[in-house]
Amino acid sequence: MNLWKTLGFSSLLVGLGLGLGACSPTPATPTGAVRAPVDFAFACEGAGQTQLPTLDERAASLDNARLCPDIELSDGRTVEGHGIGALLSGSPPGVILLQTNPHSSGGRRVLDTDPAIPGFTRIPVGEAPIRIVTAPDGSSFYTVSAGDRTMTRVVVEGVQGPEGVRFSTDEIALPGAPSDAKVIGDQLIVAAAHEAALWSFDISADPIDPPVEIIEVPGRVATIDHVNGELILTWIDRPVLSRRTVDGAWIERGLVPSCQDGLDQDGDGLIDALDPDCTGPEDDDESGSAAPVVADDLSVGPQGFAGVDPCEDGIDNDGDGLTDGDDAACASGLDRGEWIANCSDGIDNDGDGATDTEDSACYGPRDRGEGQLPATGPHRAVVVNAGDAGVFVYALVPGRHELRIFDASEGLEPVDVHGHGGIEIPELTYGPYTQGGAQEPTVLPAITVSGKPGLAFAKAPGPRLPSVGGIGLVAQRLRGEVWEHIISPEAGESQASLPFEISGAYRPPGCDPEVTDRCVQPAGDDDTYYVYMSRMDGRLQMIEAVRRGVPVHRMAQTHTSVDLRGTAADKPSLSLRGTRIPLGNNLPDGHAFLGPLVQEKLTDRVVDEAPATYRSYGIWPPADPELVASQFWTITYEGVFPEVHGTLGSLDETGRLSAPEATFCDGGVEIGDWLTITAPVAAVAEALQPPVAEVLAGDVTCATLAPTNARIDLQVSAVGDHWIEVDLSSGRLRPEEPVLDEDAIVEAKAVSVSACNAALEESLLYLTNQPTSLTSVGEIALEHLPARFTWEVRAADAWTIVGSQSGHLHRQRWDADAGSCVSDETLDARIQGRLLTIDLGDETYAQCPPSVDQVGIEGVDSWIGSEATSLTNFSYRVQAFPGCRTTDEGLIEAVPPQRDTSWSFNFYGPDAPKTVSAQSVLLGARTGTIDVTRRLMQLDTSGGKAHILQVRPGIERLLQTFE
Amino acid sequence: MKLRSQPVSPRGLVVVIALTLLAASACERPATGPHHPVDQLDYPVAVTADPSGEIVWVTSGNFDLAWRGGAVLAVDVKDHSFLTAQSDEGDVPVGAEIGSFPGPLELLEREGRAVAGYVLSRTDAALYQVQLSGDPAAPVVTCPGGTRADSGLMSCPAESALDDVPYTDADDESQTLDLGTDPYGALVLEGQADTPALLLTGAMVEGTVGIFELGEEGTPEALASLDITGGLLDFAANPLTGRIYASHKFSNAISVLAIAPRDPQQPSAPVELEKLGNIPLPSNLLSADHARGLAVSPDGRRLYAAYRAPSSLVVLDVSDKASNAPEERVLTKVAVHSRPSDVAVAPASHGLPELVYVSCYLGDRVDVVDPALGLVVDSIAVGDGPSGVAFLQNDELGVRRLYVANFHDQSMGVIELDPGSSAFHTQIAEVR
Repeated sequence: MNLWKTLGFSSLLVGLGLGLGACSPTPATPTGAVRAPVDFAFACEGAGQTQLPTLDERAASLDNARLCPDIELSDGRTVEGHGIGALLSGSPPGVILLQTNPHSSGGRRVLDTDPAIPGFTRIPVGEAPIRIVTAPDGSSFYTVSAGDRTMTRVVVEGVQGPEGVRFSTDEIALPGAPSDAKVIGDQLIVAAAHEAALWSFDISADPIDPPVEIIEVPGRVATIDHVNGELILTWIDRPVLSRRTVDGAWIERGLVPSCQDGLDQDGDGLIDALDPDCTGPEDDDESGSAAPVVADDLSVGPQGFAGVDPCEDGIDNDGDGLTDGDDAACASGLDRGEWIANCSDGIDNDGDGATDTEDSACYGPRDRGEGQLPATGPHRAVVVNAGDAGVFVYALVPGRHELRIFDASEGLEPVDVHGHGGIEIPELTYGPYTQGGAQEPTVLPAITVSGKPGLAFAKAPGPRLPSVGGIGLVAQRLRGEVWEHIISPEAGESQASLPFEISGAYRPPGCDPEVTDRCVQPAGDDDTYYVYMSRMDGRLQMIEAVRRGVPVHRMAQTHTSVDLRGTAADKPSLSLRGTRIPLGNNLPDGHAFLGPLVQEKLTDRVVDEAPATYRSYGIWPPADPELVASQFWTITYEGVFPEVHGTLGSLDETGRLSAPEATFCDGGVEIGDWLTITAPVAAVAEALQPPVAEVLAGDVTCATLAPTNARIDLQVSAVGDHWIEVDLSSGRLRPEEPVLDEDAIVEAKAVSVSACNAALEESLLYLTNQPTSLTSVGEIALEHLPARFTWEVRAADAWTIVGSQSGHLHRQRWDADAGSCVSDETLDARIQGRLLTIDLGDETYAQCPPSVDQVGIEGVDSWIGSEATSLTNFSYRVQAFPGCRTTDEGLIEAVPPQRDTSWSFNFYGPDAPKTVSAQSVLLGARTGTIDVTRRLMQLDTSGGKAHILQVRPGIERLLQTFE
Repeated sequence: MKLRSQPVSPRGLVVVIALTLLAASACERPATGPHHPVDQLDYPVAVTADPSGEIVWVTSGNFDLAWRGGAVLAVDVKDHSFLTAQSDEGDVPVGAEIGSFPGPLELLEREGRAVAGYVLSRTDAALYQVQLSGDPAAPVVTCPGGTRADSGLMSCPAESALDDVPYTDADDESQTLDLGTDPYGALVLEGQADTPALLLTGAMVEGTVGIFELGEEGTPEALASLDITGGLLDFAANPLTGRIYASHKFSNAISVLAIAPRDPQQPSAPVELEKLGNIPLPSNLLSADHARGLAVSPDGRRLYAAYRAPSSLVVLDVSDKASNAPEERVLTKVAVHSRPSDVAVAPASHGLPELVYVSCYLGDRVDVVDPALGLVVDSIAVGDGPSGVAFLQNDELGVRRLYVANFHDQSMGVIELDPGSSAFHTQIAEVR
């Protein structure tokens, strides 16, 4: 054990970090008073009680702006009322009062409620407090405590004057344990943590002993917000966002795919797994016209060819990770079935009292998992009320790393943040104030926010969250992108500033005293709304909900200048059948490639106009970088279509394979593609036995182990929604990758093991996909196949391009009315994910592997043309070149690509999401707002600090730290 | 520039001295000196709930090396007394003396009762095993080579503890299973119909996992070892998926392990443990102290980790992937009191949701977290330096409690968890 750890080495390091932070000019008030801040509320000092803030423009800068009106003290003096921040401390439980004025108005500090007592004295509240709110009239604060199940009303009677800090408290019992609280109108709404109820306290009728109304709700509430008095709720045990209208009706939307959200979207009385239209938990359409479930009696054991017992066939028939004797259904029947899916094995696999398709987690008899659906909460939601720009709800779904956005102008309608064609944030025009004449107006340029069509295709619900994850949300209006000053809401547009004759009056940009003695704030300058998401790394993720009055719903960007918003690609990595092939700077022999492994500059950066562009490792940059969403891409020759594979497959006499859990047409499968069946050699007829792959070391054949699996390709002849048909006469056998029998090689003594290994490595490049290695078998009889097999569908003679977020792009869709798979040619041509290899024809490479001279940007132009057989999607353009090899005679010949040759890389778009934070914040879920003033109170619960942040766009900074 | 330093507290000083002694001590426990008392705790580190629901086992650490060794002692949940059992030798204490600086006691359960227990000793770098027989509510404790002290306590000699255990691997080669340096955490995996029960041991320094098969009597037989990541501290198994999670003090990742599928061609081949991957935990703190205790929810959907960078409870989704679940990922981090050590899950019951209890070593508190809410919903004052925790529910006895090893207080705290009790979420007793 390390001695340093015992001495609090980590504390020492933290202390060092704190010390470094203390070197910054940001004022801090080190008192040791702040402990575990969990929530924050704000009001202004008043006479005998607090009051709501008002706004004052007299200060010359935002930092000095006043929120609080003057008050008269008991000694007759009139003073500026202090801003009172009420910081809720989790442990020890209490309210810590903060004076939050700007420096010109007395400064900011922690207020000791009883200086006569040594140490710091906070206002006591109940155990384990979770929320603090301000009364509707600002006259008091209410805290809600989960430990004691109480509310505490805190009245701050005053903080100035000869009496010092004065307060009083009243305790109000709660009917049970609380989970959240919110002031809505005159009511304090508290959510019950252990019951399906809300408690509505009428604190205007009686602030100390308020009458309470119990509102029954369909679950236990996690968070409360509202839109014009209508409740917006998330739930503890339901992945749903709900709106309760004033007449008690419910509008509900799932936060997870429709087939696992517990809602009956199609109104057929069947929910999720019990609805036959739901093919699986990730199916987002509960009303989809699924093909009738094939009468598939999975309770009948597959016979296997020649009666091979699936419990002895050496494969994991049902894909549950357990093979043969390990699969308890083969032994005692207590666990999952080997050849029977969990959802049809007659066993309550997850012990929840429901068996097979009675279990809400079973989406039909073929479903492998009777287990629980994933946990996706705790869910948080916040309302962004942007006035004329709309009302929105942001909902956090941590288990899916998603943020879902809903338009709450009337109901709750999902917002498609990726599918728009582009949003224009208007320019702001204003003129600087000068003496003696106006100057040319200044224009903040318009901003174009592009959608991400690739993500729209994948129906991505909202901004993708960073991997550090979000744990809290708060919404804030940011008044004044250009105008620095606070604008009184009572002033209105036509009277937005004080007359100039008032000494020291702020004169905002756009004011020309030659023209007017009052100024109007530029339109849109006051209409920006942000959402801040607390992250697990202590930072606040900034999200532009509305900018200059236009809803955009995007992560705020670090780089806004167009010339800094370029794209980039990582050097691709190469693998063959899952084995990584090391790359240097030269292309490896024998493998198809995308381009030379170098970066080639196409254009230079032009300041304020365009970023530099590169062809990176053969990957051409996009025409419009703003359409690019950063993601990981995999380009695979004859790759498997995503989600178009399975176990327990079977063919009927017409050659039809039905799989309700797969979508073939909507997955991009085309006629001519390959269905590949995998089955153990013992389970297939002699005619389908895999060819033995020969490994020759010189003239000697190296001994190999007998193959274990047969792989049979059959060509797709018809494509349906949940079925395909294959041409049973198109069968071809694919040899298995050989494994040397080293014992036999040693015993034979005809050749060394190392020589055989070298020969094997050489042969693997050319073995399994060459026409000569594939064996046509003519018509396949069904009785030659096992009744059940593992299957997958692959692109024929083409590369599948799959993005980690976009998926596999294509333009197909199943026309249920016509009963056919159609390609929608009206869609953008960039919605494509199937790439053909360049046919060199009579051309060849000058050397092998080819040089940059030949396949670089200049060489390609002159050799085969820059547009030769390529694919352009929204992120890049790419080509696939055949590989090459040098024969014994020294000739260079092209080598067709191998199935499962795969190039993968990250491609980065221009978006760089922006965060804001005080230094070294450890962890805090809640963020407080100080009404209207573009200031946030960042709470560091773990670090025992609270920070006031200025969050005006582009000028974010730390104003104050309380600790 | 101002540096803040932290004065060394008395508690810190004790630990410093003890750990220095650990570093400097000989590998084996001295055979002289007074035996561990039978009715007293000495720096308890862990508590374990017995499957009978009538006993709580306390691991006494002997961090001040006042005694010949540490001990595992049984406490009756009915009256919080140290248990005695009727044996052929008369009434004897239910417990055993083992090596010093022990880890938690892991129990092997057969037919509803504990039949054997396993505990690692950091001073001896060895595995101690005890057998439990007789009345499950007051078992007689014996151990290989054990002798009874004058107090009647079974004293298990270091010579009989397992370290550097020889075994034959799958290739028929002779190997030696080295438990590693600073072995602490252990996990018993109950066997299935035709698979044996297994014991995993973890060493803090090298991150060595020792794998043992547990025979009929619970005798450990070495199978293999696997090196994962250093700082290995605790294990937890998912009852639904069978996956095993391991925490590391020095790393911001949770290791994911699994028993490898057996080769169907060799049904009698020994089981193998494989590492499937890591779950990274978001960490923004330069720290040498990360994850501590682990626990899995009864429904197998969530993993809970006591985490120190910063002090928090990390809640992870570990749902079964067979249902197309998302990847194992962190759902939330909930700030708790300083230096969380261990976690225990109280399943939903008595109108309460599932709650997670987190012992906060420097906070002298147990924080109560509602994981579905992501909030601390209560905080319970306990003794000085709470460490290991264990949940026990016995409906027949009407007992629903949390037991806490208060390391510096040298006591075990008893916390009432019956929501109908006026003492709910209060420490109602201290066993010293």
